Amino acid sequence: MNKGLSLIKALLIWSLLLPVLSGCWDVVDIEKRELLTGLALDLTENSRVLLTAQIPVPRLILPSSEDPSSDQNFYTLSVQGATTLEAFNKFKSKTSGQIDTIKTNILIIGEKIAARGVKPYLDTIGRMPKFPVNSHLLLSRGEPGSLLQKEVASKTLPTFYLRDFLNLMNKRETVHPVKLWNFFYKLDNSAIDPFLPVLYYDSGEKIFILAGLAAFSGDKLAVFLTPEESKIYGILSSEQAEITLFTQWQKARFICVRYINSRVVYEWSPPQTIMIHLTAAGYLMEETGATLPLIPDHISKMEKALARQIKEDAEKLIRRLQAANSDLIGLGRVVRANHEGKWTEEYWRKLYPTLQIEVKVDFNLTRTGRLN
Amino acid sequence: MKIKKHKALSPSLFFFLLLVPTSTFSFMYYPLTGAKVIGSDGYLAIPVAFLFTIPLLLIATYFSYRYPGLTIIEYTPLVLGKFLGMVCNLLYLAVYFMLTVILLRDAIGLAYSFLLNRTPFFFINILMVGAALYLSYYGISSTARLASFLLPAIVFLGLMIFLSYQNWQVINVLPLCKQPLYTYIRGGALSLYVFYPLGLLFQAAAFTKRRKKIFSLSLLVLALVSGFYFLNFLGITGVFTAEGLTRYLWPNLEFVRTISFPFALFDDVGLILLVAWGVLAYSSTTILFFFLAHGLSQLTLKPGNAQSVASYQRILVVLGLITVATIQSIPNLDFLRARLNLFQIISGLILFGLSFLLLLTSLTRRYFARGKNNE
Repeated sequence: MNKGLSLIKALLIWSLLLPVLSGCWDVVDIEKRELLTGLALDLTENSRVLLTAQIPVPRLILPSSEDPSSDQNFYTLSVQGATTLEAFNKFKSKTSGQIDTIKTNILIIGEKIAARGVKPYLDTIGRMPKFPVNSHLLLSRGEPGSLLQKEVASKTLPTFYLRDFLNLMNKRETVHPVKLWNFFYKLDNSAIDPFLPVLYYDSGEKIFILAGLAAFSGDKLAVFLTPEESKIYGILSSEQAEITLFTQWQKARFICVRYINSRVVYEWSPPQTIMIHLTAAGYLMEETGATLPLIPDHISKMEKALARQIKEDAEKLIRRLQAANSDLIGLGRVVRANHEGKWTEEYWRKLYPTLQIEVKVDFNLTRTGRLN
Repeated sequence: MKIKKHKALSPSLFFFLLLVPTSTFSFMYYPLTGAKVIGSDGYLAIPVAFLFTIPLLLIATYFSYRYPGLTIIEYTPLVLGKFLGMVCNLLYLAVYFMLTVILLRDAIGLAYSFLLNRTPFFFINILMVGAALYLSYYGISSTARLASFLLPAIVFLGLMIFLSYQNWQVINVLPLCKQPLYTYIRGGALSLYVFYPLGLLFQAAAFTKRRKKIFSLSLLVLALVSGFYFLNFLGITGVFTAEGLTRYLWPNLEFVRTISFPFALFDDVGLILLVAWGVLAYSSTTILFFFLAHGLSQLTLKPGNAQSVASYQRILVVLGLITVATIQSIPNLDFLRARLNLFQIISGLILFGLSFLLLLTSLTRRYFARGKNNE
């Protein structure tokens, strides 16, 4: 009898724990989730925040989908508000499921917001604990929201296309991916300025084109860099990339080099000079004169031509960035590391445009591609 | 209730009993302190704090020889007298109660923000405290065994820190040693709270099988945790910079979330870290609960009962209820963080002050006792 009562007591106590099985509260079926795979942040004409979200329809995307051939495997929603959060909260009233940002891979920022300064508009995203810190940020020169509605030739979701593109290392020739945490790191850091890759859409071929960078000064858009300038930026900064360099080395003869890596040393000579020593290496992939055999003198000439080309382009790029007061390379970090006294952003903003920045380049052709 | 004796701890269990709470407590937010006080080379606060903590270990070891088999709760009245001993013991236990509340509030806050945000906070609170009480109820061996079982979780945390160096840049941790010496000493002193769980040595030493190993094992724990925190702090600063990391409530979690191996690892490794740390936090709570309840039960006992106390189990239940109520009364994490500095200073003064007071009083009494014997 006593044993039976003890058992009942124990069962009652354990049954009290049932509501505590807290996982149950958080279980939401995938069909009932509105997974925002991409977000676009823009301003309306009357300066209200315009948010557009791309939401996939899971039953049309999963391998066991009802209609895998359907083109409409996602839909987009747009909301407006005085602030980003106010706009974001309106997604709730426009959807039946639970809004979820854990799979937001792409965040596209409109040019208008970039020109005004991104900090106030991104603040709420930085405070969302579950927002993926590795999501990719891009800038659109047109209407960012419309890019999320575009059809892609490969029949994949626009955000999946962009995510896959940006995750591949060998795509980083003229564009350097920017992740959310990295963008915040540069926004918070007074000794380096952020940038964003620029996104276009080719309606003829139904593809996205990532070409060039939008350079910021603080949190405001300062200047656009061409794809060629983006290449040079990659060499000068820590954004390492495999790129192709093209230059003339003799009259009517051009070479094309697969650039592999570089070692950059920044040297600060107070009060006004920074020296950038660049030691680069690459493979010779094309020589339009098809010169054979390549003697050491030829290689030396090629290396000098490449070094000269990089130096010229780098100095040109640096002058552009200085004029826009945009320290994309993060030279401020070099100065700060050797700075005596209290470092302030004002000090750096004043100093940077007037700095004398010298570039010294050594190029080594480590492979010529043919046995002479 | 049948009274059971606590089994003496083997050196390895003793080691894990100290390692787990010390490596877990403040792991998620510690770098904020060093970054705010020192700046870009705030990680240098850790070696300074390491040096400051060694005397604490020496004092605890000294008392383990002076009063073998007794905990601090038992020998404090013997050294300082009944009344002052009681006051000091209460202060000592208050420090560890607050430490338990802070650790639990952080663990629950993290679970609530990242994993269980639709679950009522109250239920997570009850679940966490209840589960910790359950294990503490079965004594020091159970808590120590769980701690030793969680070595893979600590290794996992270490591995995550190592992988997070993926985005590390040396320029972010410079300039080095440009601050005045005083700043590093202050930073080290303010970082001492990382090692407060090591103060449990004053109680845990009474449960060890081999007294000779107390100092070497506790020093090993201190060295390992210091190395772990140093690498962690250096990594976080190298990725976010000192000014950048202050943006985050849990810099460590954000540090690990930056790991990106798109075609090899999970999208967000941070969530796995959260689970690993959560388990360690749970184990640490069981240890803290045990020592708190055991300490409280010893307050009214005569010295010499360290190995035979069982009434701590009833105290444990009351302690659990008080802990749930205290955690529930903390409105949010910001409230706690805003007062963290005050807790660190007061607790440091109590813990270190009490240790030195005990040592000085004990040495003085011995000196005078010798003098009398000579007469």
